[in-house]
Amino acid sequence: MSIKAFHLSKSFGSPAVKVLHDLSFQIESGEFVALTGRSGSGKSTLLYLLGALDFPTEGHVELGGHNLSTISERELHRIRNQSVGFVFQFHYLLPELTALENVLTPVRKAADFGGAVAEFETRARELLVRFGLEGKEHRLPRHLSGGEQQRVAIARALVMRPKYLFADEPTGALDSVNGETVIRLFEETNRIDGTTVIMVTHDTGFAARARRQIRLVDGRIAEDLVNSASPSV
Amino acid sequence: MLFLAIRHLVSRKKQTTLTLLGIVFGSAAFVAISGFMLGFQYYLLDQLINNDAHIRISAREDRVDTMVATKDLYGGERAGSSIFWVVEPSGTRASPKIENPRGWDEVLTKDPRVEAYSPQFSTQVLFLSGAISATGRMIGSEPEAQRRVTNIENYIKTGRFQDLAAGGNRVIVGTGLLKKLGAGDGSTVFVSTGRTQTPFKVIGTFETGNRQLDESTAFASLTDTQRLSGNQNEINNIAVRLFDFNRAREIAGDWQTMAVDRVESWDEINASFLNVFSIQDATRYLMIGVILLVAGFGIYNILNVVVSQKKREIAILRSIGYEQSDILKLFFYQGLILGIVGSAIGLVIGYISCLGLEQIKFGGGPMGGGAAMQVSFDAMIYIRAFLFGSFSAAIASVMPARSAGELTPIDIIRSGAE
Repeated sequence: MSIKAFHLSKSFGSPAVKVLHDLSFQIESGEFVALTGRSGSGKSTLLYLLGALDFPTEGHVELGGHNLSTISERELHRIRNQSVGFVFQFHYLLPELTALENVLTPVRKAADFGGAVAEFETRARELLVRFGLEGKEHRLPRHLSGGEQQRVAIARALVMRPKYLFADEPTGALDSVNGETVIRLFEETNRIDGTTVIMVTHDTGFAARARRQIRLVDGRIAEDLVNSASPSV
Repeated sequence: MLFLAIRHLVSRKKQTTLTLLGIVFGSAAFVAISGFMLGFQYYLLDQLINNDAHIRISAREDRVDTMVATKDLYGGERAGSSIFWVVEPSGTRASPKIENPRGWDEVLTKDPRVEAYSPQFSTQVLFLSGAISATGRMIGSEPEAQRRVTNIENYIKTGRFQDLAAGGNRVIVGTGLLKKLGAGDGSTVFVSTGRTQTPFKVIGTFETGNRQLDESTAFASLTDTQRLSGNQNEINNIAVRLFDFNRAREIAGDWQTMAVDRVESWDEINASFLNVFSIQDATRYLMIGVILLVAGFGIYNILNVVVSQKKREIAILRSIGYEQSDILKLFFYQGLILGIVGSAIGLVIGYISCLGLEQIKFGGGPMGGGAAMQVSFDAMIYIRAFLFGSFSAAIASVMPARSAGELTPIDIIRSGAE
């Protein structure tokens, strides 16, 4: 269930500007990895390639043994729905739906793929309770604070028990208290559920909490460090 | 996606209501205008189809041909060589009678498509009552046969149509004509064909609502009318009723090929009326088309705006496994729901409007004074209105829905869509 990157390159625009240069590495199942680097270093681009949201210009990614460049559209959507969870800097909640309904959005789609959905409905409620949102399940996003909205977004990312959780600057729009809460939830998820967490962050303090840090400079891996003091699995 | 589509619509109440109104007005207008126009058309069609023959066989009027006239008068060998006309014969050669009534009798009796037929002798006459006179038409028929061919009995105001069968110079007169003559039911009027005046007793009146007919026509028995015009045992019309009036043109065509008499179907006789109906229909569809086009553009514009406003949500849905077709459905369903709900409300409003229109009385015109407006409640009007409303909304939503479906999560995220 590891993530393997094979000679990943990514270019944008015309004439092409290369933002990632021939990256090859492996992330083991259950790891907590922080992708760091300056703005424009290519860390978010790399995250989206690993998380099956985008495709490399050269090379390929294997996610749990699936080559993301060659699998069918249907399989890609199934992976996005059931194996991958994404948390963005901005919560991106659907404003028309309540907190609980937002968390259940992936579950509704899972039914199309033929999965049993009843257990996930229970899990959605459990996650909201676990994330301190008990009693707020039926509130619309506009009636929740920024931190609460981000926790709902994390619950949504985790409701399908994904093997991989990708987070792009998840604390970027939060104050320090809420930021800490989010990181703690990631640590718990990694430790309790064994979910592989890959997080892009500018915050060196939060990055230090990850077991492994991959630092990018100009689209190349400058450092790939394992933090033995990290509490993660 | 239906659930989410409904939530989207409910969450933007103002936009939804305004868009809905376009469809509601479109389909309500379709129902009301169609109800009114078709009601009028059906009324007239009913008059055309049921108050008169489906096929009318009448004596042919041919133009006089000089060669033929010369040949008839002076023999074939001299025609065109030694006969010179100072004034060439011209005009129409009236043949005031059906040439072979027995032959028609045989054909019409045997043809299984014929429900009934009525031999008639109709003639232009002058009605006189005291010092008052009025031109008109006397229709002589066998009352029993005439009753089976047309709905004349439905329009009898006084007297009984079958009482004409007894003969004895009795007549049933249009109410308008009787009024013109200043005569009353039971009085005697004189009828002239130009040679003599014959007294006829008014034994009843009829009123079809067609003023022209009511002010100029009288019915009598066939023998009385033949005697009046001096054409004993002759007929100049046969009114035919078919089991299926829609086949009238085809059947008239069949008969025409084997007869010298003129054979015309009801729709040929009333071609100008039917052309007006076609123009009315075209106008109606054009009007409604424009209304629904405007409503469709409303949906198109609003959904386009919504798609650009909802890019973030589309991105998140795509990132959690929703496919291109799901996003397409999300917006297509919104258009479809607006179409279905708007059309359904429009049907109700249209129906209520039709009930209101039905109460409107108006005077004069071909439908008679003080008649209520004829409104059609034909189910097809409602089905069409519903389908037009729903389809126009659905079609208008296809393009915004497709453009939404084509958005990829990464493109939206990179563009930093809010």
